[in-house]
Amino acid sequence: MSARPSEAERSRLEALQRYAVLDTPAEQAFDDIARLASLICGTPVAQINFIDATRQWSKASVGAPRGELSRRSGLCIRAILQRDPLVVPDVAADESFAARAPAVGDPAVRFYAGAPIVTADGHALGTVCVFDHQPRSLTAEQTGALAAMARLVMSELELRRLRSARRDDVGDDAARERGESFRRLASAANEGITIIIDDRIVEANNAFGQLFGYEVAEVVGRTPLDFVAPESRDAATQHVTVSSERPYEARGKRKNGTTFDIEVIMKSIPYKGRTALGCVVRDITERKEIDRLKNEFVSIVSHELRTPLTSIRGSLGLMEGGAVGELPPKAHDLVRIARQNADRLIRLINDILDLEKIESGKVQLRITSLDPVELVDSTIAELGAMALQYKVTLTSLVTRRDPITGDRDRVIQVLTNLLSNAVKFSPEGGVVTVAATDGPPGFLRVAITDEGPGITEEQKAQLFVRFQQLEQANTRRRGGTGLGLAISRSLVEQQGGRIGVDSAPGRGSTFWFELPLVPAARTGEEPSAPNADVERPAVLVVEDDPAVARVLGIMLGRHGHEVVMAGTLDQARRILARSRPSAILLDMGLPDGSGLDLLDHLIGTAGLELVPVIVLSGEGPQADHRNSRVSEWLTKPFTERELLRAISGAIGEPEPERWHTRP
Amino acid sequence: MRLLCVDDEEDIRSILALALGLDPELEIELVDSGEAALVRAPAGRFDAILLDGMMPGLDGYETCRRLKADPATAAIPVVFLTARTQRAEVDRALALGAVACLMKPFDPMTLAGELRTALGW
Repeated sequence: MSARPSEAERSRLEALQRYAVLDTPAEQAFDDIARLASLICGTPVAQINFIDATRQWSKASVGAPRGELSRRSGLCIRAILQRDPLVVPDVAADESFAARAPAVGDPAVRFYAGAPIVTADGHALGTVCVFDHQPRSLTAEQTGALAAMARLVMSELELRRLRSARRDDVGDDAARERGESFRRLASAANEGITIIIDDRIVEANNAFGQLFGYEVAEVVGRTPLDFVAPESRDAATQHVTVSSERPYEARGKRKNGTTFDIEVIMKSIPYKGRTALGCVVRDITERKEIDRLKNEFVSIVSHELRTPLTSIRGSLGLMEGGAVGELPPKAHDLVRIARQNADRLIRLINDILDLEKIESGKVQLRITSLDPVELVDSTIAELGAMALQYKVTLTSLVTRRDPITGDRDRVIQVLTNLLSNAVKFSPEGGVVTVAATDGPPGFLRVAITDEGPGITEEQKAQLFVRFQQLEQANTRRRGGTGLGLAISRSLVEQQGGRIGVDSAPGRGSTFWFELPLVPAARTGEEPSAPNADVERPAVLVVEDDPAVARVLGIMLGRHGHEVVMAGTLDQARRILARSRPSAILLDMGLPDGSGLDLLDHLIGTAGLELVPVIVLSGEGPQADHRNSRVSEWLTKPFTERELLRAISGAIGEPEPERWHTRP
Repeated sequence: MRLLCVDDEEDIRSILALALGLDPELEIELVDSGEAALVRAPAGRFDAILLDGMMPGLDGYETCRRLKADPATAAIPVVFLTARTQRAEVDRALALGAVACLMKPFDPMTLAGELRTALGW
């Protein structure tokens, strides 16, 4: 640590001491605020952190374990230097944060926002902060709510200090203060917020009343279904039953009977000593309209631009090809130029649409097991004509046949992109090689090496960003759209991998990507984790499709979860007889019955009642009484992030003893 | 080989006539709508149908569904020639019984060859 804190820092540390909050146990009031922060900001992780001379210490944490970090490695240290919330949309892209991010304890932290907790005399003690595993942003309302929550934490601290000074009996007061806390916090939010117990609304904020055209007093005591249009009631009922944390869309119904589009997030929260449903409602009329316009635009681009281009490209192609007679040489040249540029425009439209689709998560990946030798060989074969044209030799040095996981078409798209770039930038007579080597544990690295001009360090940072070509002149000479590497990066990342480049000017470049290897099958084995010295037992994956099971295993393994696989209900029951997993991922359609049957088994077996179950299904939940046993319902296809959010939501419940290994 | 080409755009029909006309073995008949295709298909002894996806009135998908539902035309192989080439659209066409989806814009000099490959001719 630095030798001596400054005067200002000493005075801040004294202030922190006065509130006597450091190293105290978790408390519900703070947990509630963190939970609301996570709910309102829609992030998987929310924390209330305090910073003393050496540490960043968590008073409350949702979606991640409560703990401490060295003060320098935490992200909050910068947030307390300013009075407004600090929002870092992409930690990896932020110079002063990027170096710290790996120390956060979760290398996947990409988004950070923190509002400082500031005393009346101006000392910032810590933050209310939210994290996400992917870059994002907050609305002004969410940022405002985060700041309101920081103020709320401060008033909680003040209350505590006063109370301990007065040595008051705090029983009733605490509950009242907490109710007051909720109302103050909720009144600051723009979203409708309610708390539901036993299918009745017990609290609602003003925004909720306004949204639906009621006075708040009229809202309390009603059933939530009064606010849902008839066509959405079934879906709403199912979501209430399974308490899905994932936002869902429905039609809301106002007091005057008109209906409108809403988005609802539900989450179990502790409330006055009971379990209640916290519910946040947003009016998404505007968003739906924007979505509709965007889809319409994409469809226009896709069809209305391609149709005239079909005629242009067709006419030029027929003329250039001599289908309507020989052209004079100069005319032939001009027609060729026009045809090449029509092709370029077509590629650009295709790439823009592709990137839009990939980045909005609309691409459905078909993950299977792939043979690297075959992938590389067939891609090289496809590019043979191009290599010949550029007088470049394409060679595969790939001999490893360890299967990797990915979507065949999409992996070939990435390979094609990297290989055709390598060809375009190679000197005449150059050689492009493809090799496969060990990546990080569990990954295969495929590397494409060229003898081209190489890339400087500064250029590397720009490479994978859309429309970034190193020299504008290259666009025309090399015929690229400037989107290929951005598309490749999105595709590789969506398949659980990484992409990058090693290069120096004058020494050629090696572009590489890493994809998960198919792990050795462990089907039906005893989970290795459940023993006394391992804190978290394994996750049981009940899934009969081996490719899907492997991908789930990879996703979970990369985030530190031990995994045990069962391909049938029978195997799952046998594994459960020997050990208790930390959570169960359950496919619905299994060879020997429905996943719902396993829920019966869990309900009826002592010791397994509380194991959280996450259902993986091709469809949304069907009405079934056993759904109440489900912690989360993930509809296939789901992203890695959704899966991890579901798992940490399920495992990271506030009562940690529930999920510990059976003694 | 008799081929029925269905496309609502007159320009594209002209280009199709020229492009496919490069293959001397192909005999082409052009119609401008799904409705017209349903009228001509049962009567024309076609060996294959090349169908645009997006058309006003009956679109290519609905036209294909009706062709496959009619015993008189169900056996004629259908190839889509469409500007909508997203995987979901291709899947939709194949699910309706099409044998392949070719992409617009196309290269007129190689279209006949691609069509033959798709049809296994």
